Amino acid sequence: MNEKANVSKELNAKHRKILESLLKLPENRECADCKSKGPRWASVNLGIFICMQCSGIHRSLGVHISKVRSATLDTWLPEQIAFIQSTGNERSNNYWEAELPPNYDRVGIENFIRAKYEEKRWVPRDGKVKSPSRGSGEGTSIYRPEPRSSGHGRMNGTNHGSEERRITHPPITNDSSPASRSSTPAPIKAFTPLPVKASTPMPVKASQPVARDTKPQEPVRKSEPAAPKVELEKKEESATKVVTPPKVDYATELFNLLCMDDSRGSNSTTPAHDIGWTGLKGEFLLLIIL
Amino acid sequence: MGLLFSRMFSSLFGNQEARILVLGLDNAGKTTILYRLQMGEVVSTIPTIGFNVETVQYNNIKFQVWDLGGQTSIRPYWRCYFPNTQAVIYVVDSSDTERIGIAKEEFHSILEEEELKGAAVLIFANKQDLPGALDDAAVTEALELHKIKSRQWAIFKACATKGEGLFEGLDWLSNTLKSGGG
Repeated sequence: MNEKANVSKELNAKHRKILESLLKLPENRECADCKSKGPRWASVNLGIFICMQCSGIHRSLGVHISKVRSATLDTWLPEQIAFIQSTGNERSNNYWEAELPPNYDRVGIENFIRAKYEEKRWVPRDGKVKSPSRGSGEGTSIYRPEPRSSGHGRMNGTNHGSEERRITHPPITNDSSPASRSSTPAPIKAFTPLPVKASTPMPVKASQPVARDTKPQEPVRKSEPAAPKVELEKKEESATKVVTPPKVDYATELFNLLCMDDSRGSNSTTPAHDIGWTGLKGEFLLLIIL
Repeated sequence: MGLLFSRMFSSLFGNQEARILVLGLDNAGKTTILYRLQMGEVVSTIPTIGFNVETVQYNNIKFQVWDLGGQTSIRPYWRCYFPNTQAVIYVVDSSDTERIGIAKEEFHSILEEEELKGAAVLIFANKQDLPGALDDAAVTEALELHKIKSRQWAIFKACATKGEGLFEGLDWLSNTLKSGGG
């Protein structure tokens, strides 16, 4: 039940090595869904490696369809490692994209991913190829498991996330905070001055891939190399931690001081300003922590 | 001077400030909740490596809400944010029954933290729309909430993507903070 309790440091290190070597395989060098280079995330029940952008979409599907973990920041269970070893992007796509027309345009990657795993639109029609996906962590039979009706629930037609489709991407094209965009660890929902809402609601459907994928991708990549750093640092590295809290508070306090003066007689625009301040402070702090 | 003035100003109009941490396992819905509260919209998110912070004004309280990344190896960094926290919002993916045990352990280790001794705790049993989601009673049991001693706490069913349950939780939190809890 408990990942942490079952996975010792040594085992975790071993898992890291296995994952690193799996990520070097040609089939896993690009995202299983959008084909972007250097995926560092994974769906442990589908047995695939995906990029950070697609991991966000997989997370929105719910754990009954996809269980997302970081290949660098998360602790994996032995059976999850064994499963992704036995599956991988190529084998998985042989199943999930069996009926996908060649040169299919993956514009609108969220819709593509939903069609692929939720609607199972391109799985083999003849039923010869077994699903490589498996229920979840509870299974022990790893190799070539049958599709399990329990864990991987047949979700035909049910669209649990229909609300999630009405999605906006407020911060992406926000010009008023270029600094925060470039250094923000998670740029999609970075520190958003409010006006963006009005200026650029970018529906997922229409925005692919140039507008949406390229912009956030840059900072995302920047943040991914940072991931191993976090992990390389020993968790016990308390020196940095001890130093940090006062800085948080100092930053917060300073921020309070600064924006409170501003906010006398404030209206709805000041919170945005506040957020910018805190956000920037936060990023510096994060850099310190990392 | 400015601070003094603004504090006087705040107390005159009943404004209160509160520092809130949003914690929980990865993919519990922390970031979605933060932005749902702040903007009233569903944003598409990617995993949070680091944190997001926003200000949410509600019921005359200015909540400064910190949403911290939940991946296994960055959870130890949560403690950097504990000092001066009035409340913790703990988010659980109610449909992730496989990891509810881990969610429980992380939760109770947070409660043991000296720096969070006085903090009120609001639990969101999130993702109620997903198949197999545990309801609030089941999450209460799974997280062993009855073991909580000498602390104000409450649990709410929520669905962040539909906006359900969130402001009910925030109502409870603001009332609790106003009455001196947390």
